[in-house]
Amino acid sequence: MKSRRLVAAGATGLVVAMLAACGGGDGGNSASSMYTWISNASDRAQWEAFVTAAQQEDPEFDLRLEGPSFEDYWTTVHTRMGAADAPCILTTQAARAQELDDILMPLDDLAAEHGLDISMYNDAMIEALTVDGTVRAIPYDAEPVVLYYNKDRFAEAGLDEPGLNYTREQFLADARALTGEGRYGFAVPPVFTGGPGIPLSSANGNVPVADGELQLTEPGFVEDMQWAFDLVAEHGVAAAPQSGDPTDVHLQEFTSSNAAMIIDGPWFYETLTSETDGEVGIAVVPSRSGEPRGNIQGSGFGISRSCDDPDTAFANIMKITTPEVVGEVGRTRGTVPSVARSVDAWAEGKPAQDVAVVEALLESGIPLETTPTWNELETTFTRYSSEGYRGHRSAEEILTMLQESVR
Amino acid sequence: MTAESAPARRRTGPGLVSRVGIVVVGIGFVFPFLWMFATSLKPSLEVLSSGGSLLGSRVEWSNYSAVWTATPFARILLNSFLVAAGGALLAVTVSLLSAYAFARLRFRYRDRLFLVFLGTLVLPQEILVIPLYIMASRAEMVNTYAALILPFAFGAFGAFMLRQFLLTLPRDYEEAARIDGAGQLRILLHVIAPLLRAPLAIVGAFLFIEYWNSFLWPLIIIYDQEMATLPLGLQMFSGERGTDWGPLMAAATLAVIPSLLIVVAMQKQLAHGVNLGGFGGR
Amino acid sequence: MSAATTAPADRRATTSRRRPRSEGGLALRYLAPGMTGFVVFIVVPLLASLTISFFDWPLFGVGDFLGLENYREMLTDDPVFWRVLGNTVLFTVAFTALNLVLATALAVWLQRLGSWAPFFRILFFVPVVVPMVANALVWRLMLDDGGVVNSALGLVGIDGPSWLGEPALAMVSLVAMSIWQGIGYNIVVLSAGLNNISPIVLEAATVDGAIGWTRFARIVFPLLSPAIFFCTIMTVIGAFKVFTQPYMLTGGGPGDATNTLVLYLYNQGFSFHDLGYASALAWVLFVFVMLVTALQFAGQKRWVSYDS
Repeated sequence: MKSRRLVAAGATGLVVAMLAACGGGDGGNSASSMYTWISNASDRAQWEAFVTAAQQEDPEFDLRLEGPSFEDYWTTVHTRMGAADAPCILTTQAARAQELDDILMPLDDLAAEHGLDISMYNDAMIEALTVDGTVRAIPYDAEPVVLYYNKDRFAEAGLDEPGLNYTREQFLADARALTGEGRYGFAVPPVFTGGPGIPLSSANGNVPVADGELQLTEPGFVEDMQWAFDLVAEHGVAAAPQSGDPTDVHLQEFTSSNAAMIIDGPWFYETLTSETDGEVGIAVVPSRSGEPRGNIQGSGFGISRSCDDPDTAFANIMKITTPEVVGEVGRTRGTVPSVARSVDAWAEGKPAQDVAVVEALLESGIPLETTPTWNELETTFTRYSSEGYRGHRSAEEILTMLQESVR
Repeated sequence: MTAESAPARRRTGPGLVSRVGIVVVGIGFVFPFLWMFATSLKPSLEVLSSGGSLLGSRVEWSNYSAVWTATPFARILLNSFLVAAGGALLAVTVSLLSAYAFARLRFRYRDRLFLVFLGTLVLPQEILVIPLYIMASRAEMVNTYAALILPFAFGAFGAFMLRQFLLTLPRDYEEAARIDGAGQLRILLHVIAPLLRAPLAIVGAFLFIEYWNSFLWPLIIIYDQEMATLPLGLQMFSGERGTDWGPLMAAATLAVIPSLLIVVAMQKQLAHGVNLGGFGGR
Repeated sequence: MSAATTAPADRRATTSRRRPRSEGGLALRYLAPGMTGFVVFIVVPLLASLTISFFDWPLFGVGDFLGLENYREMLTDDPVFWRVLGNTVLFTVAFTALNLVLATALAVWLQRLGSWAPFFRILFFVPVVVPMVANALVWRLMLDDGGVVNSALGLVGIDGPSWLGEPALAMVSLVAMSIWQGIGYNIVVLSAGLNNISPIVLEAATVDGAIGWTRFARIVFPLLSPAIFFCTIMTVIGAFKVFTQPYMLTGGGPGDATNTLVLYLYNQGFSFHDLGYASALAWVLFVFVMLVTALQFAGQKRWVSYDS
């Protein structure tokens, strides 16, 4: 009987102790804490690269990192930032800056106080990170979406490689030539921002958002999205994606050389050039005119409105966004730096042609402007895109529905 | 004597077909787990493009070590275990007390109260997550063990089952103990609880499983890697730039192991069926 | 103690001799933990949920009072709601029916397999205990257009369809995966029910000439019906709450083909931060489940036979 009592007491004690224990994270100095997407090994390595690079200048520098997986970040950041012990610094993609409007503190005054010259950063990025007239985050990268192509497959089919000039017609012709016998010329993911539709339309100067207003039904944009859908539905140059598909199906198709081309960001440059069966090159995204017109995406560091010590937080942000640091991170991690003169660090060791493509796109780049409801747009589009790619629904149908239903 | 020990006299023919059939069904049933294991040994970048082939270009054992470096997997397993065990323990204790009151004690409104209580069996917890979330954040208890355990420890399932069993227990033991001068609590602990060992174990086991598999609530209430439970942990392999499929499948395979252990622990009850509340003929 | 053998008749709590005092005080002490938790974690949130559904409630602070606006919008202005409700009902019906038919069939089959039965019961139970996330992930891989299912079909010359890409098939895949995951639970419960059927009764029936299907329909099924009823109730409730599978398998797509009530509720509340609307959806779910369960209880007299 005694042992049973002991067990009961022990069990109760365990329960009480657990309930009394606070959860994870002890707060610490929130001005030196950053909330970001960190659960994936590659993501964590990226942030640590910033810290390491900053430590070259200031060995005492350190940043406490905290956060969920990338997918959950956009949902949890709202709830996390409301807590008393929330970190001061947070990351945001430029495409989501509008969505985080009520979390991100305006930084213009702080920049002036600390003497930071914002104009050294990529224009398109600053524009994208500006919400309601104020800059909300300092960008660390400026990534123009590019076209990756498999050189071996092009050579095999006897086609000329694309480069600084690539028309839609040529792209389609090449893709068709590269499709056959179970292999494709192209591959597409089901998502909106990471899909080919937006870069393809940006290349023609058509954007989904203008002046803060969603304009998905704008004829030019609709036509370009339909053209993207038709690549699969009509011309069959890529396999139709599924709505549940992870965002990297098209990457795997490319690395296994099942697909000869994909459109994605330069952040995959290292991965794709090293892991693909075959030599890889990059070119500009195809457009009607053939001229390069970049769609610039990227991310930056911001400060939470609930931060008690914005000065220290901003000082910390400055330390990880110096031209040297972003250049160093660009060199080691492959992210294209947000400061023009640091792009050389990124270019180190890369073929001149590839660097030329990136620079051309950066120069002509337009930002991806978004709206506060972007998350909803993404989620809904991803569910419907598979039908668009299969030709069950037209782009007009889907975009009209999105334009109306996203509240 | 149970029905299954009765010999199948006229059925030696179907007997063999039956056996082969069930083996086929069984294999088909565990196939997803075999596939999970096979995929966990492929290099991440081949998982989606290798389609139907069992093997990748090489056997990537490093996927398994990647699980431990990529996520605080040990801590995650611990979290899941603490929450599930703590929750089950709390729920069983509370259920026993309530069941005893409803089954043995007499007081006003007893039956009506029990009916209302029972009505909540049909209540999907999912609909409570929003106010629970608001309550937790106001009480600054987001991201804690307490938040993971408490909301689901007071459901009617345990009390309902235990009450059923209690009602079938003869009162003689309690009467005898009471005559001997034992206090009510003593009676409960030393006389009744031992008699209810089987249903207590079943309630505990089912509640453990419920906590173990719970996904929606931890998804909402936990924001820190260190406090994540197993289902959330599996989400951690998706990053901004793609998913580490190899380690993800390795983690999933590893996640099956504790579940298998649970099943083994419950095997005695499972093997002959779980009698939830004493139905069927006597 | 000889008294033990006569005790089972004492099912309701009518005592053989009166207790000297009402046990209200004692009952209070015993019920305190359970009822406190019940009120705090179930009753209060339930009522709070109703209250919130009348507001436009943001993540922080208090929102604007909307009266019945959320409900009005849901019922008249939101085609997705009806789609989602339809999906949930469809899923529930298909899942429950198939689950129970298969579980009963498997439980009966296992009963006949004698010594092999325990092993297989445990085997079928394994997916129940494995976290749904892991299950859903591997099924997503298997059902991928180029995945193992289609490869296997390809071996026999069938051009496998897009299991997760075609709306109708996506729902089929969802149901199939859910059945695989949950059937073990019902098998285990039904097995107990089957064990409780006295073999003497079965023998008698067989001697009377009832074998195979007749024996099942006339003898086994009625005796098993309370267990089947219990399983039906629990399965239906579980089906209405389906969230993890669609979340992980299809995200609710393609289009809205596999979007279910709880998934929709989650997105509205936590992705789009419209807690008021999400709460309204939650209440609709609650009412629905109550109604359906009540209907099932009312209908049980038709087919469930408790021994008397």
